[in-house]
Amino acid sequence: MTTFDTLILNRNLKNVTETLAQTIRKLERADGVFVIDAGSRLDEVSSLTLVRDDTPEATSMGLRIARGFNLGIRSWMQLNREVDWLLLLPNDSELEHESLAELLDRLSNTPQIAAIVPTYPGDPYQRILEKQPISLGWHIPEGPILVSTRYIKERFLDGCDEIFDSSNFRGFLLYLELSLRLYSNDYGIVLTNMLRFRENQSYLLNEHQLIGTEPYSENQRLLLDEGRQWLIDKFGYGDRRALENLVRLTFEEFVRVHGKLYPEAS
Amino acid sequence: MTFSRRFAETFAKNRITMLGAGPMSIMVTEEIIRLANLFRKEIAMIPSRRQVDARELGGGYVNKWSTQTFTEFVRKRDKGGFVLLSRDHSGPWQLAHNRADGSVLSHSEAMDEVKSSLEVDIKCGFDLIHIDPSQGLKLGRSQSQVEDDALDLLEFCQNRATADTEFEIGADEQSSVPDLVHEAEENLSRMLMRIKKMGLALPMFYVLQTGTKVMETRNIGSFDARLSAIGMLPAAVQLPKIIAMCEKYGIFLKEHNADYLSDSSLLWHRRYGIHAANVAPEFGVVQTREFLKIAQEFKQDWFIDAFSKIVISGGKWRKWMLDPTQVTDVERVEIAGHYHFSDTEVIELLTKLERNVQEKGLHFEERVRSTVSRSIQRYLEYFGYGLGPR
Repeated sequence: MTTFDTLILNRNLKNVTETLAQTIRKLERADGVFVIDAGSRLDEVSSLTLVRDDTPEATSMGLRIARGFNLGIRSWMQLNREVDWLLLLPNDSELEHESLAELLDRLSNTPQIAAIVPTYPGDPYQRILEKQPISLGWHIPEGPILVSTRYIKERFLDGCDEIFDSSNFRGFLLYLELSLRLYSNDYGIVLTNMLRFRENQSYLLNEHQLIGTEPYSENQRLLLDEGRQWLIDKFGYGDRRALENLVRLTFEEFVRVHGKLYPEAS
Repeated sequence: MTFSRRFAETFAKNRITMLGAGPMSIMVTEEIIRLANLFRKEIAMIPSRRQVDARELGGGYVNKWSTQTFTEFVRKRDKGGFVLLSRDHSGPWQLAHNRADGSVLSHSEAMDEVKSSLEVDIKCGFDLIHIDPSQGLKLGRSQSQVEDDALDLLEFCQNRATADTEFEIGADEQSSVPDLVHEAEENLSRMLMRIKKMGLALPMFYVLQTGTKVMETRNIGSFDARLSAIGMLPAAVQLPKIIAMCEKYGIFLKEHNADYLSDSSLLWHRRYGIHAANVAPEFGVVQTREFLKIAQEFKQDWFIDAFSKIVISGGKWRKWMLDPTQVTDVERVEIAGHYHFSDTEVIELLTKLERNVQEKGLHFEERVRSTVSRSIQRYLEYFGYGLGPR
């Protein structure tokens, strides 16, 4: 039977994190639920914490999803857990809908699929997924994601202990680049409406001081400015469309080879 | 050689995006003609029915031109024959929704009206006609009835036009995201099948939403978004498939609402292979801004005050406003100034402004013309017309 563990990224929202953990625990096929702590104040550290970064940098700026999830995955790998999938969640995720057991069963015979991206309310992919609830995709928004244990282990065996690029601090096009990592390794990503999370933006919009992050608009500005610099440093160009082009072409090659796995989301 | 063949050879094969440019004023019209002849490549001149329409229907707001006088103006100046006269959005209720008493035009009245407009377009030798009955959707007509109207108008035109007249079908509903490919394909294949069944010639262009949307003086669609916006499907996902779909059916993609796109977005038009793109209000806005800038530089506040009063009270800016909007009165004037360039009072104001600044040493017309020209040229260069960065 296909099972999954969960890592929740927390920063100064202990109650919110533990409420989310309780929700996940009740799901069929859910196994361990752990928390990654991104420099929270002591009274906001969850009892479910698997790993905590309390360096001055993390305490002052947090970890964000790339560094946070990577830290969590490294610690989780040391547990040698026997599950098939790892669900990675920012703590402002709220579960809206799930047919997770059915979803995991449907994917159990397609080891080429290494990541599952849930939709969110108002997600434009939902219109496409009405007809085909599991579809291959490549341009995916940052947020909750399931990554296959098989893929993670393969990367670690390859000497790479980072699933995401930690140098991309604010996560600019982070999952687009993840698509590139996956598709260029002959792994695929599916989008699905069989699992749906809502991002509760009220924490970022109204409680950014409590969380210890910038105001939303400032965060967006930094995301663009630092993201463009990351793109230049890493790929030698600052135009996101060039990266999109590269990922699309790699994706199309995957579809050419494995297109019968799932229809394409378009 | 027919235009569609020439287009395939000159534009599509070389991944040049053809510009469809709105004749927003006399000056914009003249610059479009001049640049088409300078670059020696076709530009489609795309008057809407409100801008230019048949004399019998009262003409349009641009220079009070009728289709007949507009055609004469363009053809006389277009020495190399590089301007394609292209009717934009011709369909029922595109000129007016209502009769003089305020009641809504019936379907048959609106169809008769558009047919009389189309008849003049054809007599004047328009090269390309966009059949767009989509206004009917806002007035309760179903998708299938709107398709019936499109076919009726296509048949009407083809029975009267020469074999050289090309057609454009489809509508951009000013959505901020690209059309879904499977839905667009269903619509296109159904329409093409019906067109073939009726024994009509296939249209040359298909208008599809590519993620461009103009509001105020910005393009707020997903095409130009710096980040993938929540709720918007990225243009990069849909566009290559939309273009492949058009190519599969032997039709060219025409994008509407390409105004105000960034240089980088324009550059990607060629890379994606978008066949043609329409730009209109931006050129009028550029001209208005230059008038206001000159007036400010030369301390002609009387012009700014009087012109602004006319434009604000005219209310033509309303349809471009976001809700809610943060637009200032100055921006409202910039957005809608060009609708008033042919008002007698505005002509007098501009004549006086020109006289005053010329006395102070500025060659008024040259300066405005050069600004307008640069704004059109930006598109030509990025679209691959030849002298630009690529």
